[in-house]
Amino acid sequence: MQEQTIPDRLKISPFLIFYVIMAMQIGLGALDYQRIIAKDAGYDAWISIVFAGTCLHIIVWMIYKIAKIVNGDIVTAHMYVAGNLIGKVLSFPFIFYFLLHSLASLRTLFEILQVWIFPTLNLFWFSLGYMLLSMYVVFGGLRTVVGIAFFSLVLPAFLVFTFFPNLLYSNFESLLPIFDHSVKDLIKGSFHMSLPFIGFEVVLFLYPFIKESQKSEKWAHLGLLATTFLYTILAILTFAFFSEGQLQKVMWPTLMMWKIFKLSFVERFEFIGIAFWNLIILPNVCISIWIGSRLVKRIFKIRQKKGVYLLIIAQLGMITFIHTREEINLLNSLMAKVGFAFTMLYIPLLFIAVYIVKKVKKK
Amino acid sequence: MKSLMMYLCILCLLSGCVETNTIDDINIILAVGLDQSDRKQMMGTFLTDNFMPDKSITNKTYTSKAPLRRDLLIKANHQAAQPLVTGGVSVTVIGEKLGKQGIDDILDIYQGDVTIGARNFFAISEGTAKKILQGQYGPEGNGTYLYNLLDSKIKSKELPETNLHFLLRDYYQKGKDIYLPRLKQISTNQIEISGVSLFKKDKEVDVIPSGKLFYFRLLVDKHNKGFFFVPKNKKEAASIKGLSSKHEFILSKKKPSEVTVQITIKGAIQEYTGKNLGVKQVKEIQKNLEKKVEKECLQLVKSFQKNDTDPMGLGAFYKSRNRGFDYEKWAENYKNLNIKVVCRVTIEEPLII
Repeated sequence: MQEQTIPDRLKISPFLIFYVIMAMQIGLGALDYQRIIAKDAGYDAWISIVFAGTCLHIIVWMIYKIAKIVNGDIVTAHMYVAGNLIGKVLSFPFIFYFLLHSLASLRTLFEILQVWIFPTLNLFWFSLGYMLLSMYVVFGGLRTVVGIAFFSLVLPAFLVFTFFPNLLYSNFESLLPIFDHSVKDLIKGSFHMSLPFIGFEVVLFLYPFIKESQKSEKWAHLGLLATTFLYTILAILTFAFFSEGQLQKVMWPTLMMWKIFKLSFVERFEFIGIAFWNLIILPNVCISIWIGSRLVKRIFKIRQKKGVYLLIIAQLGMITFIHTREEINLLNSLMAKVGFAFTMLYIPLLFIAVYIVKKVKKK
Repeated sequence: MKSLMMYLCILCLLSGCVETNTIDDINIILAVGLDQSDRKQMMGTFLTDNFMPDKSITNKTYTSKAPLRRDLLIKANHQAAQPLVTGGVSVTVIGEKLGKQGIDDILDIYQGDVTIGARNFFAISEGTAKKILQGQYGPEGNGTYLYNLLDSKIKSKELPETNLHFLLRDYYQKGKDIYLPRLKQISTNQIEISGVSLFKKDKEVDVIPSGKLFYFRLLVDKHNKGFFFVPKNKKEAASIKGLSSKHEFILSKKKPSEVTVQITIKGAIQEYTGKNLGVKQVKEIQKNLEKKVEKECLQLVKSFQKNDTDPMGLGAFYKSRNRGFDYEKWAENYKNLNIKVVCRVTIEEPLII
């Protein structure tokens, strides 16, 4: 088995994993998860978020165990389990996974831009501009990509405070009674949290690039905890702000909550929020493209640059074909299902497989 | 360097890709009036303002008829030299007739339209909405005037707290009904708030006259303050300033069909026409006020029940206290619900002049 050696100057500090995970998680699904989970679990859905977040800690623990045993990323793990060739074949679909991830993030962002600000926005040209920007970031290497992830979290962090004026217009009694829904409904709600929660699995791909990799585990858990906390708070604020029947009519609850917030220099705050949302989506796209191209490089042994071109062209080609609301919904629900299957089903399976192989190899 | 040039080039080229709206080239709608014109058609009145060279503001209204609200705007746009945009709507007035027919479609559109803010006001008019918008009310323009009128009345607590967000939230919440302030045109340059219209689902069913608004507010607003006046039995009268008040719903544990609305008022006596104001008199005033509030509020509650409308949100309250709450059964039993009103008044130290 080949051991990849990555020079220290290309590696990132362990604590940066915190930002990578949060930046990758927040983006897809973060604008409308409240509506989707409340459909099944009603206003008890915040329990679903806490439950889903707790489950994911186990998955993160598994990811670190896998990575430690094989001392490498998911491709190494596949090769460790199934040999060189089959290992590569198994890793191949993940290129599409990340392509889908960036495609879904980008298309959802564009939909908001089209609905809110520019109804006549030309998809192709705007995505070309966005792609050139992300290409520029990705060519800077992983360290630049992670830097973008850092800034995309820190710069828009003030947005959290803009939800607090809503407290004046909120009614927290609508959250009562707690536990009004069956366990089945709550678990359904947790399942729908998979779209906003996916993204933490990038650790399994970035592992070889982290300095003193095992030290980053606590940061990964912290990142996940922070996201869970943020999502729960935001969900509770949303549930108090909208009534249950109204929430189902609100397309993007997170954005709609800004409608009530008014500053003396800007009548409607959503426009600032949406502008910052561009920045929040950027690391989603950049990290996805970087990992996708990295996988291309590892599997086909071609230069990573070519992989980047390939992914960007594929993305530009596909994005122009997604027009209607239904298609975007389909894309998002597909991403949610694939993400759920990968994180909650495939990673535990891989974990078991790696463990068995380790036992066998020892003998 | 080469790539930098490329980016610059693209930046310049792409900037022309989106539609621009210059503020001088658009007509911002400030108020919308919606009326039922005949059985199928709606009539929309869109109010904009023009800034004249001498710094005065003139009102301009565009009127159109169509079966759908969206069409109303498109048709009105035919008359306007510059496109009408809805981003600045601050007041929407519903005609009386339309209010009785139901406003479900309109609320649905307001819920879905992302260009309309959440802080603007909805009101219902006596007579047509068109007439209200076509008056001449003040130098600041009709749209601003109407907005300020409603806003100041809410701030001074003469009207119950309302805006589009509260309205839509209550409308889509099961177990709570909506209410809208009523506007009445006295003359072409005068307008007043004549009360509140109560709705059952999306149809107007009852009107609370402005004289009873104080009691209505005690029932629907959680927290309150405001002035009120209590005539005493004999010759003396006292004016009491309400410092704060709140209401609470209390469920009876034994009987599920009994609920008590407990109103607590804290006030101070502002003025008293009698000669001396001692402890005894204060007590008397307090008792009188309690009795009066209880009587008036109970009357209102009874009329809510008679009309089967629930502006207090008792259904929503029951839901938050009971697991597995059944709205349909609730709606059936609402009329027979035994609602009691209990009022407690505390009067702070009388003001001695």
